[in-house]
Amino acid sequence: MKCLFAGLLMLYSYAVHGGPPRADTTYDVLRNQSLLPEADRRQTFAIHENDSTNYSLQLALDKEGRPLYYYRNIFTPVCYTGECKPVFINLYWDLLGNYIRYDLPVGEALTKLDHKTFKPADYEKLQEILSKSDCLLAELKITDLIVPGTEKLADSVDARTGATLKTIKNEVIPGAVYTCYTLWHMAHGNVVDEMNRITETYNSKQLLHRFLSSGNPDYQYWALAKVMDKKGMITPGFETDIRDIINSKNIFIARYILQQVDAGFYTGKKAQRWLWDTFTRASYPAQLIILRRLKYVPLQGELARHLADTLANANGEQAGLLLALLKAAPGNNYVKKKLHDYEIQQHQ
Amino acid sequence: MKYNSINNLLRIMLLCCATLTLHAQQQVFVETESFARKGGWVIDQQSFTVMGSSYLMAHGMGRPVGDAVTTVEFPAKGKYQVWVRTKDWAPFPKGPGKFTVTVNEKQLTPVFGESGNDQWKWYDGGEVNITDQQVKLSLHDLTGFNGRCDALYFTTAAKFTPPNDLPTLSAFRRKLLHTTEQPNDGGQYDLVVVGGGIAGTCAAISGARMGLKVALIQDRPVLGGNNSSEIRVHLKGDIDKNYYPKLGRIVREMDNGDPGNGNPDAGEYGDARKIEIVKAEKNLHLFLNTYVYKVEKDNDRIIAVTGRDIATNQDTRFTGAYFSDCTGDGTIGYLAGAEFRMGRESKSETGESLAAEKPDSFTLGTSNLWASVLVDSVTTFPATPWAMQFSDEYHIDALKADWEWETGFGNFNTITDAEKIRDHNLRAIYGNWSYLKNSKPEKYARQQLAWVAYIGGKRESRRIIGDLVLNQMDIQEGKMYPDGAVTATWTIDLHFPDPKNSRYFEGQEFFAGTKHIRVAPYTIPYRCLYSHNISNLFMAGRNISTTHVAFGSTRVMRTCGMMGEVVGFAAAVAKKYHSSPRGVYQDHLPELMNLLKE
Repeated sequence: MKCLFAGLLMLYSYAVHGGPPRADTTYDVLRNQSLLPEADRRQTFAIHENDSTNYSLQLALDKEGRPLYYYRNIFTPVCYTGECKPVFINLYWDLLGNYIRYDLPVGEALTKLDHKTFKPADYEKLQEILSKSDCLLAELKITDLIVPGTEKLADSVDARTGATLKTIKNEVIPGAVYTCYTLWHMAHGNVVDEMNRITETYNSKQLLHRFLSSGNPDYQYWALAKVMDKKGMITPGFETDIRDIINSKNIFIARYILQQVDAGFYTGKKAQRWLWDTFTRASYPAQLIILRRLKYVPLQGELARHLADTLANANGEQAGLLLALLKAAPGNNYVKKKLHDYEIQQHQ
Repeated sequence: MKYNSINNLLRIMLLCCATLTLHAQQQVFVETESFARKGGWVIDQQSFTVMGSSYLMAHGMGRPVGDAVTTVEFPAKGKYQVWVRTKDWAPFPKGPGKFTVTVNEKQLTPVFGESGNDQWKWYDGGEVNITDQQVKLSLHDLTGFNGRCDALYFTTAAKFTPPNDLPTLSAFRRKLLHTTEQPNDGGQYDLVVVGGGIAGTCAAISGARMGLKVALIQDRPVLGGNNSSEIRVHLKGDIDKNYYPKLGRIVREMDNGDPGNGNPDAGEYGDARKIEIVKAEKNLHLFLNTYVYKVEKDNDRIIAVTGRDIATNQDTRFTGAYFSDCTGDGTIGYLAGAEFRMGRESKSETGESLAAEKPDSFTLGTSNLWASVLVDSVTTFPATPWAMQFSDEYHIDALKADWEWETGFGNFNTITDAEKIRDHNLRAIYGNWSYLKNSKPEKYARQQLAWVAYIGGKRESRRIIGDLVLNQMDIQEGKMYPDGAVTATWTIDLHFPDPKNSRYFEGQEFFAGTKHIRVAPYTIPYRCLYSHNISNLFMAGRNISTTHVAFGSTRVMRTCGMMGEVVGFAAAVAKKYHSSPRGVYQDHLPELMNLLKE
């Protein structure tokens, strides 16, 4: 039945362009539509996974035809005790296949084993479950999880996974274990690779700039891998994007770039002016990363003077790094005086 | 110290301060933990072993706490130099633990706790003019973020700097603080149990019910240890699968239901109930707030232990026939020279498949649990630049802590770095909470931190070596030794740093993962419950004689409590025959096992 339906869906939606999912056809059960940007049109991709699995994957686009996000209109039967119940749901992913949200076709609801419809808390729980990429469900077969022919959790689940039963219960909705399992695997299965493959075909300077400035770490790392080579050299034209990321609130990606980028990125008067400005605004851990990185960078006089000025108020860790840098810096009377002052201060 | 060398030695309201004249120098030494009114400051004794003292800390979860206040009588009027012993606990680059000190309503000029130096040191507080010998002192917290102060010292000698190195400082404290070299007499006991966690409390009750005169000495104001409201870990390990169903009865009494880990309601952990149960035992003498730091021996026997009151600093000495080390850290065994292990053994040493390839100092970590609650209105939480920094890319999206909030893992020593570990946990908790409050208002605007533990819940430290060292094979093969006593059921649960947490905080992990290796119920032999080389020392709790791997299963609190119950029975048998813990195994095992069977 699933196979037949997938085939029908392919035929139905093979048209390349059409409208995005619209509010009048979807039921935004969690009211989280704003997690995604507004789309103008869509492109449909027929995915042939294997002989029995074919489906359509939709890519939402903006007015300029730029890719925004993916989605799938899903109908899947969830079967237990020989009886199948239909599940209608729409799943949405970002451009790298990270699950974002779901909604339902208008008029549809999700149900539990006892045919009772989901309560608001169940819908929220489902979103929580689907949002976890490293869920316990990933390791399990459905036959590991439930007593065959029922939706009851198997007693031996914890033995198989090493997790406690309590932990597993946290990752499923009682009475809808099969539904959770099926949908999680749909959200995190092979479709993710398909989406990444398609997004690669959209790779362009424009997309890279967009990703780098998106504030979305996944997009940023994806683009970074394309504009920074193994030696840390930045593709010309992307330096500003990189500096902006370093100055952003995401300390982790800033740290990654600060550590990986080629020393040339910090070399020269202009670069070091920017670096000093960055240093003054950076969090403490980021400041330490910069100080450690400067060990491999020729220090210009101006930056050396600025750093020497910070010595008097530095804590032990900062002072150790600063002293190593400043002592190795080329002769500079101002710096020498500051180093001398610092030594006197330490002996007081 | 002799009385005739003391000028105007005065003590007020159990205040531990001392004044004396040495070479015409007037001095006043005030331990902050002895302040008459603590306000919102709390006593922390967790680093006694490395500091030689407890201290006061302003644990306000980001809201300044009330002043700690006391009154001291000075030996004479005049000008005094003030010294304040403190540290900057989070010098990244300057910590948040800021406080001021007021002497007779006049605030000293420096702000303390933000020096950028994480070493405990004396800081110059300037000069004060004492015009009235009754002097009111207060500590005024500025942030609620764990400012701390060990002691205040006043001297008329302008050029004297009090010592900072530990041995000299300890001697200095002793000289200035103690009115007598003789500690209080805590009494003579059949069994002295040190450590009032679940294991120690059960050991003491068990011994007392067997007719022994028992002292139970605990270094906190509450019993229960990791299961107390100060730490809030729930009890684990089953008591319904016992080979000897008699064991677990006292554990059951201690059990206050299962509120989970880190429940925001302190009452759920039943501190008062536990104390009532102990106090109901007529043979049992409870000494709370007493940190045991000294052991006296006669050859291979312990004859006495001395504990110091964590507030008044009064010493008390306890003598006994038998001692039980239920400290968790194996403190008594360590002080007595008992053989012990700490860290992981290697595969080649133990033959355990789960052992490390090479021996190392890795231990499971320490948790400082926390919880938030939903409140009626939006609340704020400050930025915490001195804490760990988080972003959308990585943070822990949680309303409360569970066991995973854990620091240690060989990055820190669970005993000597206990303060650093707790502080590391606090920097993770506050940094993450600040991120959640300020960056995810949709979920966290009305959540408020209700509780953050300032006492660390330790999992692993020293393991005292007994006549048998339980290992993984004993557990997995379910070996039933003739002295098999306590049935254990918990998985081999050896935590490690969560890989994602490691990726973001390599070497500074604060979040754990685990792999539960299931075991069938097995039985811990009695020989794991007494020291191999200290002839009258029992152990119960996490510091019994096991390998690191086996400890992964024996360490949970119901199981530890049952070890305590067995120690109580064994001590009674030992006393009856004037024997030793080993003598009970060698000569009276059938009697001990009969006690368990009855």
